[in-house]
Amino acid sequence: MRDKRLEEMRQDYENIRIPEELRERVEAGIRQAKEEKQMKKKSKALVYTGRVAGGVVAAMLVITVMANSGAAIAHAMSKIPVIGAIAEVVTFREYESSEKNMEADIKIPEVSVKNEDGTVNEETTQKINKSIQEYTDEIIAQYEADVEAAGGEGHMDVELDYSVITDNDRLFSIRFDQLLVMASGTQMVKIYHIDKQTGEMINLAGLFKEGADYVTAVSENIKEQMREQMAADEMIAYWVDSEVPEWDFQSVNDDTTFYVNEAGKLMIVFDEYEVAPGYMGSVEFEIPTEVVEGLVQDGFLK
Amino acid sequence: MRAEALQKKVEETVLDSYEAMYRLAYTYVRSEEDALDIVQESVYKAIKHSASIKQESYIKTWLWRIVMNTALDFIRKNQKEIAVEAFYENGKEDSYQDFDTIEALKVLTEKEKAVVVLRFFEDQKLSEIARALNENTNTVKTILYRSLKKLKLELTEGELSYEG
Repeated sequence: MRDKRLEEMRQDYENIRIPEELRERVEAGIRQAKEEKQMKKKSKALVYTGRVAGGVVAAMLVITVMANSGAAIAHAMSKIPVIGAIAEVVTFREYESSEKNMEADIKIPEVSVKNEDGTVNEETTQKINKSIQEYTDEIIAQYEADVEAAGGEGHMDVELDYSVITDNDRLFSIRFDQLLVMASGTQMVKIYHIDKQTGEMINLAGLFKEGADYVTAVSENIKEQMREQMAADEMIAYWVDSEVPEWDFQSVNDDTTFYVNEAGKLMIVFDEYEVAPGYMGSVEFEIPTEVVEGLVQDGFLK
Repeated sequence: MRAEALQKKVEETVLDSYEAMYRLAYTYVRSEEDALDIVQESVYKAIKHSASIKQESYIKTWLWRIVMNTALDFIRKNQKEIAVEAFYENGKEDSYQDFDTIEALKVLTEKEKAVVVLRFFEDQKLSEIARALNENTNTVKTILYRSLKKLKLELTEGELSYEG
């Protein structure tokens, strides 16, 4: 069976040049998987997404404050007279560091939430600022650990900035954009939410009425969207109906990352690799409000 | 076996065989850039899902399977970009590499390609290939003979056209 031509073929196969970069890429793959597994272990849903080899990484954090029932929340700068609470960014601190080729510039906003009568709502103000601080501390700690691990010889650039993305009758959301540049990294998204009414942190389940089966409704809609997109464009790929069913997207859960967009639609966010091959990056799905009609609490979605 | 020990074993196997993983990926996509992407993603999947391996002795064949699936996924989504013409252009630039015989593999289906590469280039046993492809050994044998027949034809024609 081993004829000459097959031998030649084998020779050519063995001569396939191995790029110098290969080892590095293999290690990056191992690191990504490990980091992600580590993250999953933490009970707090900490998410960020990954871009490979020299990529630029954007991570995002949205903190949402829910207004007291019925009360309106408006941005302090708004001209519209408001009745109810006001949430605004009052100041920010900045963490700056530069060690040879490693730099960090992290802006840490301070939010103030006021009651209708103009007094500060201490509880919520503290909660939201504590949440922001925990998030930024984590980024700073990671940066400092990386600097130490690299002995100051690494290449890395971390920037964190913020903006108010939602400010309507019921929601006030601040989004954090993290820019992370290094030899290789993982792009992740972290979003957590605070219920101003109860002072508790809430997750996706907190948008819905108690006992409502939003999981099936939202998951099935996402799968439908995946199939439609894949059928329409062959460049698009998701892990759905694949050859390895155990890796397919199964369903959202109570802690799935989300935010409410400008149009008042529920947006579900997935990390890179979570529901699609890496080249798809971090992906988002807009859930039509009809899909969760009767399940969602009033005032969140339009 | 505990999940952590299993993950460590997978990591060791990966570090041991990533060049072979790369070659297999390269056979499918014939582009360094793409093969690197496929290897990185395969490694990521392997470590991430290491807990799903049933037996330690299956790690290697399981890795083959991941590389193949990842490569096929990649090809399916990028069909336009991996046009044959583009491949020829790349081939000319990489003058240090002779593609003629590996190019012959293109007459094979993806499955046939995997069988030939694993059997003859990576010296895997038929039973191991069968496991990697999720087929029984007899089917793999049949695929192998069919592939060889196809390949010989292709090689012969190639040679004739060079001489002519």
